[in-house]
Order: sequence, then C-alpha cells, then structure tokens
Amino acid sequence: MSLSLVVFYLLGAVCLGGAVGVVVSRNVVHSALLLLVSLMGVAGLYLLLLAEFLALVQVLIYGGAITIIVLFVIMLTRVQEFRAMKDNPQWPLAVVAALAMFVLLAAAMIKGAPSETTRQSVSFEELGSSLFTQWAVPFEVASLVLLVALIGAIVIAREGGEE
Amino acid sequence: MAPEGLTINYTAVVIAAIVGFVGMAIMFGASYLLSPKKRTAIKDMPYECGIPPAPYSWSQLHMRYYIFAILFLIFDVEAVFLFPWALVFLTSIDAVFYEMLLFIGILFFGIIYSWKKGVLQWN
Amino acid sequence: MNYLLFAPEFTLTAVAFAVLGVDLFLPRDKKGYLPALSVVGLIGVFVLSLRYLWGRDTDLYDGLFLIDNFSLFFKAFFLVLGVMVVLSSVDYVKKHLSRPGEYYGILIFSILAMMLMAASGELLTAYISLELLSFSLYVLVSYGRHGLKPSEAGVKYILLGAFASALLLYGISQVYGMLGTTRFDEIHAALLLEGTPLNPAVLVGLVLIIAGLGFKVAVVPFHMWAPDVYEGAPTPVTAYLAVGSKAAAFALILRLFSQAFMPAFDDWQIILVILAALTMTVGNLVAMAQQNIKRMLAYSSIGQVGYLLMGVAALSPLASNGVILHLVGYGGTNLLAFMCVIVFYNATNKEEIADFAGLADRSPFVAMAMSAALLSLAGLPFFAGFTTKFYLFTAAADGGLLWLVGLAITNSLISLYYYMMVMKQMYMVPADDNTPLNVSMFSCGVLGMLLAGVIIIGVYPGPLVNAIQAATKAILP
Repeated sequence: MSLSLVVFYLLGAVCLGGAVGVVVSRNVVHSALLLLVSLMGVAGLYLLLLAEFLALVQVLIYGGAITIIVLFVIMLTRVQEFRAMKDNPQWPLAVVAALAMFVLLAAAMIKGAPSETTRQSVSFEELGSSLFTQWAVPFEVASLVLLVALIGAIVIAREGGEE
Repeated sequence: MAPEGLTINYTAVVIAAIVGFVGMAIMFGASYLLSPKKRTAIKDMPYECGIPPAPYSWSQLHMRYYIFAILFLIFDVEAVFLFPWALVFLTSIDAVFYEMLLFIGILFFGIIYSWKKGVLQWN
Repeated sequence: MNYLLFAPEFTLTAVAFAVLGVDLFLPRDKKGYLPALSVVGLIGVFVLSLRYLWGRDTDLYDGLFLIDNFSLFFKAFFLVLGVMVVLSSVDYVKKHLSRPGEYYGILIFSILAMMLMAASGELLTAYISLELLSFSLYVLVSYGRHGLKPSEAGVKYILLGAFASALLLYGISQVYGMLGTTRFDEIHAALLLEGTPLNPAVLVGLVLIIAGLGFKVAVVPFHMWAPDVYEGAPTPVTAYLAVGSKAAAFALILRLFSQAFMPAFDDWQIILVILAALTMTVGNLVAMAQQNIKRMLAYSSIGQVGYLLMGVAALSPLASNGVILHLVGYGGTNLLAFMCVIVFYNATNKEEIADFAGLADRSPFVAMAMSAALLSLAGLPFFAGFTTKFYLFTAAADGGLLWLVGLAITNSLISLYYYMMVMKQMYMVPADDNTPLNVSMFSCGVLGMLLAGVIIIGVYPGPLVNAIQAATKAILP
C-alpha cells in the first residue's frame, strides 16, 4: 500500500468520523464543531489530489466562514428549543434510504469507473487564467449570487423586526 | 502515480502539522500531570473569583450578528478569488483585470446597500 | 471576442442595480416608480435582444455561452413574462408587502438567471445560473409578512431547493468525472464514443441530474414542497414560480437532453416516461381534493409538468416545438389564473375555493377571465391550452408514446372536473356577501392583456409556432 493510499484512508476516516459525529452528537454546538473536523478532512483530500486551490478554498471558506455562520445561527436560536430536541422518529427510514443511495453510487462507481487514473496538479496561474478567461461568465454570476444572498438575508432577517 | 509530488511538496506541511499536534499533546499532558487535582464545584466554575455565571452558558445573539457573518462570508469568497487573479492579471488579457473590478463592484454594491439600510449601525 | 453579444445580460443587470439603487434614495411615498422603472427596463432589454441578436448563431467563451435562436426565443419569453409578473405584482406589493425595491430588483435578477440558463452550453454555467434563480426565488418566496405559512413555505423551499442543488451537482460531477467534460457538445461526442450500453456511473449521474432538475420543476415524486410553497408564497411569486422557474428549467432540460444526452436516449426515455405518467396522474388526482385555490393550481401545475415531461420523453423537433409551445401557452394561462386570484385576494384577503362563490355577480369580468383561464388549463378549444396541448399530444403520439398520450387525455378530463367545480362556485353558488369586488382599472387592464394573449394563442398560433420552430432548429437541426 502506497503512502498516499494510507493518507487517503486516514483522511477518509477523519471525514466520515466527523460526519457521523455531526449526526450522532446530542449537542448542536458539538455537531457544528465536528462538522469542521469533517470539512478539514475534505481539505486534506483535496491536497492529496493535488488540488491546492480547492484545499485553500475549503479551509478559508468552509473552515472559516461557513462554520462561523453555522455557530452564529445556532446562537441565534433560543436555548430552550434545544432542551427538547428529540430524534426524528423517521430516522430508521432515513438510514435505509442513505444506505440504498450509498450502495447504488458505490456499485455504479465500482462497475463504471476507470481502474487507474493519474493525479495532476494545476498551478494557481493555470487555474487563474482559465477561471478568468474561459470561465468568466460563471465567475461573474457567482458575484450576483452572493449579492442576492446578502440582500435576501437582510430582507428576510429584518422583515418584521426593526423598522 | 508515485507519491513523489506529495512527499516533496507537503513534507513541510506534514511536519508542521505533526509538530503542532505533538506540541499540543505535550502541553495538555504536562498540565494534566503537573496541576494539583483538588476539584470542587466552586473551582470548576469558569470564573472562580468573579460573580457567579448566569444559568446558561449561551445567550441568544442578536440578528445583526448573522448579517455580519454573511458579509464576512461574501468577502471571504472574494478574497479567495483574489489569489489566482493576482497571479495572472498582469500577464493575461486586459479583460481579466476588469472582470475582477466588476466582481468587486457588484459586491461593493452589497456594502453600500447594507450601509444605507442601517445594517452596519450599532445602536 | 464580441462583448456586445452580452448586451442584453449587461443591460438587464444594470436595470436590476438601477432599481435597487434608486430604491435606496427614493422617499417612501415615491416607491410607485420602481415597477415602472422595472417594466421600462425589461421592455428595453426585450427590444435590444430582438434587434441585436436576431438570427445570430454563435457562441462565446468556447461554447460556454450560446447565442442562437433557442436562447433568443427564451430570452424574449422570459422578458415578456417578467413584464407581466411585475405588472401583476404592482397592486399586491403595494397592499401586502414592504420593501418593494428589493422585490423588483431580485425579480429582475431572477429573470437574468433564467436567460443565462437558456443560453448556457455547459453544465456548470447552467448550474450557477440555476443557483442565481433559486436564491432569488428563495428570497421572493419568503417575502410574505410574518406568519406560520409564509415561514413554512420559505424554509421548506430553501431546504429542499438546497437538497436538489446538491443532487444536481453530484450528478454533474459524476458526468464530468466519467466523461471528462461539462460542455454539452463534448458530452454528446463522448457518449457517442462510449457507445452502448451506457456506463453505469454516467447513468447514475444522469439520474441524479434528472432528480435535481425534477425537484426544481416539482416532478412526482419530488413534488412534496410545491403545494406548501405555492400556498405560502405571495401570490405573484407563486405565479412566477409556476411559470418562470418551470420554463427556465425546461429550457435547460430541452437543451441538455437534445444537445448533450441524445446518444443515451434509450436510457433516459424510460425514466422520463415513468416520471411523466406518475406526475400527470398524481398531480391531477390530488388537485381534486384541494380546498385552497393556490394549492389546487399548484397540483394542476404539477399535472402540466407531467405533460411537458412527456414531450421531452418523445424528444424530436416536433416534440420540442410542442414542449415550448405548451410552456408559452400554459404560462400565459397560468398567469391569467393567478392574476384573477391576486385581484380577488387584494379585494377580499381570501383564497379558498369556497370564497369564490358568487363571483359572477360580484365581478363578472374577473369571473369570466378566471373561467377562460380554467378552461384553457383544461384544454378546451378557442383558448391557448387547447392549441398547445393538441400540438404537444400529437407530437408525443408521433414519437410512439401512444399509451402515455391516452393517459394524458384521461388526465385532462379529470382536470376538467376540478376546474368546473371552481366555475360552479363562481356561477351557481350564491355569495355570502354580495358587494361588488373592488378591482382597480390597472388590474383590469393587466387581466385584459393576459386574457387577450390566451385567446390569441388559442385561435391564431401561427407566428408563435414559426418562432418556436426557429428556436427548435437551433438545438435539434
């Protein structure tokens, strides 16, 4: 077993462990922090695939901003609501559905995926020139998506509150 | 592919990570070993010699924190795109430079908007 | 590169910013100018698109962004739709919603997103455009005043919409991982190269893409959000959701399946046939049991999605014409129906079917417009619904889906029943309070325009069909 395969399994364990923790934990704040663990595992996987920019994005945006927002949102709620938090009675059904989905995807990948591929590193320069030339339209649309998200957050959050 | 790329590029990162984790483990371990262990309810309180803490460790935040968080997220995304852009805008076609200006301009409108709507006010 | 080809998109973005910007500096009592500004802007972009892009067939950014008759047709359609939605919102927004600036600004952003969806020739561009559309719609759906139903609608729509986006994105990544490209024409070439049988990993990607888009257009079994969201959203937004987001998604579906996934036709046809049969049957059967007019129209629009999906399942130039024609005809009709609901709600604050009792006495014109809309939805002659359904069903039968067409006709008969029940309320049941409905001249004008459109498409569809044939030629030569 090569070194990168060992690293892959370690990182995979971190991702899965974090994700299981998110679902199983009885405390939402712990869930949010375990989500961070899982997201950082994904960043490690990106590094392993030599996708450095994605790893950077993963750490900065998901590790930094998204986790912060999730924590803020948890703190926006009232503590009383969490004391009565119960399991969704439909969880066995969800487990079955998730397992079925997993089997389906895994089977398709085992049957269909090419057995061997090589990892290729893309430098920041290559990525930048491709992102800002060929992919300019989605890039600009992304800024509009962010703007709509901001305006929407302000509109919805302040509706009824102040003013 | 052989893992050369990995071992060469990320040796430093891996070492830093290992040193970080081991260092932290040593510090926690040392403090666990060295500290006196006489636990009482009073000593376990966050502020041993201040006013007693409120019943809950968390209180409800105001909505405006949320909007600040969203603003932070949006400009975080912008910052991430600035990295590859800074590397290529001098050597690539002119349009690349103006694209980023447009991108920032669109987000800047968001700032003006929230400013004008009084979201940034703290009263 | 010719940046001028982006003129409509750039101008429309500028219009949206103008609306949002003017709103920031406009005193409270002058907000009435905002819809006027929006309408003028939308019409300006409409004229600009038609004048500048007419007959062009080219692409920008290596095929990421396509400029052809198909995208031009949908651009024009979405802009007209935008004008009608803005017009039908004017009274409602004034009466029931605060913050008109953001409402119209985000509405225009969503129209921009739909234009980009119809023009994108690549999966990620389509995805991010779809996200812009979805984000705008999340905001618009949650626009209602505080209350249980609007909140439920907003939260449900955001959560399920995000879930659908995740499915779609997973499907896209699966297709990209297996075929090494996200461009429609290159996917087409790669699929031809792979030959049959289809690689199961690609098939899973395809299924996930269908599921993701199916969520967005409310295909059974991914429809559970639709009735609650339709009921809780502000009514003009419901109308827009029922017409606009569906038209945009079907524009994307048509282009995606004809230009990218055509070589795998045999694999996805059976999926779409099953989904279409389920969708039209469940939609129409459940519609019969509804008490709320918006919920009824929600289920009826699920039924209509079934018919449209049947057209996609029989994909051919004829069927594509049928799908686009039905999108336009059904869109106009549905706008008319919702406009009647809006007018009624503005006057009475009620939206149960039982409340429509005696509408024929209270406002003969609104009752007549509503009847026309319902008969057109059912597909009776002289109205848009008949012509477009006839064309669509013929095309599907021509494509060999005879039993499905039989099912669709049966479903149309079922739908006639529950539309008739509403008409019975309006014409046969006496009202509790007989005061005439207070309808502004402006609303009457909008109703009249929509009614005229529905009848014109019904009796004289020639020019529209010609335009649609030109659009189809761009994706299915």
